[in-house]
Amino acid sequence: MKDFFSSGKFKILIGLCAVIIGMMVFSLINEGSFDLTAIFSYASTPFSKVSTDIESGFSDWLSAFTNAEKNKLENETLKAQLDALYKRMSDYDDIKRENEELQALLGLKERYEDITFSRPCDVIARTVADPYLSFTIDSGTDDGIAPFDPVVTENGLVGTVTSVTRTTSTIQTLYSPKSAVSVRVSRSLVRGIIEGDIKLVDSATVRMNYIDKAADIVVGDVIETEGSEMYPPGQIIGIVTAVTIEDNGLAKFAEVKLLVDPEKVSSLYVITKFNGQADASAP
Amino acid sequence: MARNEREKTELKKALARWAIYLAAAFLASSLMWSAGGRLPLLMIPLSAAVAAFETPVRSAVFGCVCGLMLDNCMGNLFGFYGILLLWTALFISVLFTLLLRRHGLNVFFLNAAASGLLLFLHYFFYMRIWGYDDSSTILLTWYLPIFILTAIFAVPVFYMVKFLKIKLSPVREVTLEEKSEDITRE
Repeated sequence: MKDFFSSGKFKILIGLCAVIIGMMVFSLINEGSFDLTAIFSYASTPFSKVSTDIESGFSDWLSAFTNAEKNKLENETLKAQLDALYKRMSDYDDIKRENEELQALLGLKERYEDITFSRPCDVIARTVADPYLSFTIDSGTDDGIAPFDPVVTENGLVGTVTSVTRTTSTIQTLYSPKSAVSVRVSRSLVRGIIEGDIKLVDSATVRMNYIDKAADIVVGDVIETEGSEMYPPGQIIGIVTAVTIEDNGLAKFAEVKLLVDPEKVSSLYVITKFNGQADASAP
Repeated sequence: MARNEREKTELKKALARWAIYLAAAFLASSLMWSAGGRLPLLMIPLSAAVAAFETPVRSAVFGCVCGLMLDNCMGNLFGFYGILLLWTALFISVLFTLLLRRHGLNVFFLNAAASGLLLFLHYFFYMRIWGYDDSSTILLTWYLPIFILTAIFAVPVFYMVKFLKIKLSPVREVTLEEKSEDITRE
């Protein structure tokens, strides 16, 4: 022990104490301007960071054993909360979509007062290997749908119902060669017939045929249904993208870009009743 | 293993195998049903591959089921492909039972022939006969890609069915017995 007090190590300790006391005195005299804490914290930050990381890691590792039951419970609670949130989000999306559909339906009803629409229908299947892109919706005779009823969205005409079961209906699009719609140009009332063309299906375009050679029709014109026993008047079909003279030189035809691409449509309405509709049950 | 127990195991395996075949057909059907468009007619390679390994009658019944599912997906007259695939599967199964080796290439060619025939009949009855404009364009732009896709799918489907058949078939136990004890060995 005697050796210790006379050793160099003890002298270093005394020196260190002296330095610390000197710092304390300096701090007292300068009213804290010599910020020991700041120096220490500056010097010790990297170390404390490392040690905090190590401690945190170790605590986590240890808590896996010590708090396993608690963590499990917490995990399950959080999982349940997350599931509930996901469900609420999904419900929110459904309600939002339904709201949009009903708003669109309301808009349609206000726009066409003499027309009766079905409830919003969803596309549930698309026919395989059908070049004319027919599809199936989730409403049928139970919803008042009958063969030959026109099918629309808030943006325009899509096609007609071809076959119906109690809960589903098959829709024939405007691309089908069996479909021919009497139409007019909304600006100049020039008339024509909309027919499908297999070469134009990929670009969601149909042909408006039998247009008089001198008729007033230009690119950008809006095409709508003229009104017949099959389709109510004023249902928009599309926009003219090209006008060409037929090879025989006697008439014109126009390419009409559909406003509603049947390949992409997912929700629509069936017109179950309109003024002047043909009776489907009539022979 | 007792005979009864062995029979039970074999029955279980066979049932499991057929359940998987049917589940695959349903899965393919529902995928096609929701997607639509230019898709391979997966039920044709599936019924052809099953026909390569199963007995003719079972293959025919399975082919019929696949055909009906296909009719549903394609909006055909219900039973159009049901009947056609019944006979196609039966024919393929008989060919494999009597003449052909169960090889991927054989199934590929037979599936291609079957797909070609079935698609041509569809084209003929649903497009050509009605005299639609551009029906030849439809043949090239719709039926040909579908035919190629359907033909290509024959090979993976065949190997999947083969794998199932190997894993879920009764194990044949062959016992070799020496007829006589008087055999002199050198």
